[in-house]
Amino acid sequence: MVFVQQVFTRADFILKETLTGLRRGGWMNWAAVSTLVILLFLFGFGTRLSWQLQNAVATLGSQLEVSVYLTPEASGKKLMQKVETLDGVQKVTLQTKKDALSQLQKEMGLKQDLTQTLEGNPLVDSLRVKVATPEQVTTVAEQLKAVPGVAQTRYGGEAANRLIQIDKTVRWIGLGVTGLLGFTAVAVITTTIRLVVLSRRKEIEVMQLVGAAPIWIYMPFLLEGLTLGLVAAMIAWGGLHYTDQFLAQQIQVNVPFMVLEISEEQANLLPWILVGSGVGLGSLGSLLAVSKYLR
Amino acid sequence: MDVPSSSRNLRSILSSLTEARPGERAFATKEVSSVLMPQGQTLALSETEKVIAYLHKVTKTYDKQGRSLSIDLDIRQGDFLFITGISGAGKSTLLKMLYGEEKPTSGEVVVDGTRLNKLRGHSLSCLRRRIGVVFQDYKLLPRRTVAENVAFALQAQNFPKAEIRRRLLPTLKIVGLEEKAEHFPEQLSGGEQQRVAIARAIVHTPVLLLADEPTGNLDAGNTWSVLEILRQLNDMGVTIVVTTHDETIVQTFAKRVVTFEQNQLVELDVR
Repeated sequence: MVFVQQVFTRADFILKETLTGLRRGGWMNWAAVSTLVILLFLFGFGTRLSWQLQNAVATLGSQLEVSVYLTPEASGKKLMQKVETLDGVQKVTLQTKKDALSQLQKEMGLKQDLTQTLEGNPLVDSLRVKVATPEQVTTVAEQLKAVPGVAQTRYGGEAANRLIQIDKTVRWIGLGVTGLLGFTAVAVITTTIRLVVLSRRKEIEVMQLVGAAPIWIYMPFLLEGLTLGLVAAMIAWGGLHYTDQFLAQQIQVNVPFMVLEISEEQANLLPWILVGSGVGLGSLGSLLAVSKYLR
Repeated sequence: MDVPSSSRNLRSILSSLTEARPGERAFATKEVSSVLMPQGQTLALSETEKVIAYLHKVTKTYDKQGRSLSIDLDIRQGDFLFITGISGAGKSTLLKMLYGEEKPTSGEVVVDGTRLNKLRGHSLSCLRRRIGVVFQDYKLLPRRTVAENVAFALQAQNFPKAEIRRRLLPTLKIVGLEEKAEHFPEQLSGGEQQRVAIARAIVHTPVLLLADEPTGNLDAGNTWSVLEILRQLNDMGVTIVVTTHDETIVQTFAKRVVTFEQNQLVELDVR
């Protein structure tokens, strides 16, 4: 009972002190929160964009496969052996025009024979060429194009490679920007909290003299930094949410074929990442501010 | 004169605080202990005063030339000990070593059974809960009332609210400030502010009360009333250590006097 009471007295005191500290921080709080908001917003935006690009890459299919479409006269079976000898080719599978047609028929759910309706098979034989490494995809595709009887080559890797490049760039820029801003944010938070600590130097001195536990003296400052981080994370998350909606709308109107989505788990994870980084940076800032007093 | 009107009732007020509830500390009273001879023979009961704090073979280097203080001192329960000497002689340093603000260069500092030499963090704050400290500049919190300033010490030590209420008023009565509980420090005279500081230093019934030049900023009248309060606390069994350079108050109040002579602490014969 007494213990419970003590815990409440203590929690009460710490919360009151935290609020007092936040009030005393004044406009410095705003500086700290806005720096953190910008940081977390960019960080969240970059993370989401990276996820979207990765998902797009995944839907574009394996980047190790080249589809080879032959001219109507060419026979896939004959070409197969030649293709298999090319450098970098791992495996070749043949899809004859007959197979392709029946698959199409099946996919369309048609019972009647399409060859009759279309007066013959309009499709061509095609080869699926599996390449050993991603770097070889382009050269293999070029070589295949030169083979007589080949009408067209296609590889998803072309687009995928570009997206991977963009993703890499996004991540590097994101890392640089968030690293720099993270440093700034911690510096601003540390300064803010240190000012509050200084304005309360006398109280801290008295608390130390009357035997208040160090953790109790410094807990309000830690909570203060944590609160700044939490508030910033929530604002950043709100901002991200609205820009996402806006961008999704714009994409749908202007480039409806572009699919930039993140999975539900990723969507749920994002706010926690923001809260985690905000709270982490906020606490780190206040820890640095009081560290020299903690000894 | 500014002597608290209620000091006549001091004894009864103090004893209300002294009624220790289970698990609480009361003001210590002199102990009668039996002394055992090495052979196991029991001597007749003799009244010995328990040593509650001591500095043994302590040295403290205080400047770059390596000059140092050397201190050997036992503080016994019930002492009203005065530390005198010119300013800069090391009086404050000695007191600071007793509440763990300064560490000795060598030797041993023990207060209430706890060795202070390497004490820090939470253990240091636990020790400070057993002592009370009063300063020349009072160190009151300006934005808190008298009552809040005194309660602050109890809050910091995690006393429950009911216990804080129970202790607050009797303690303010001891220093004669129950009428001014809701005043802010700046509305009080220097003497009154120092009495608030004393109230804050004793409200948790410490085993040892340290006062560093408590009357340094006060006029004669206030000096007298503050020392009168300290003497009455001492009469009730509170062990008190005071530093001062004021010879008149030493002659009037001191039970024991120690002083620094050429960086060496020596005890003076009082009576």
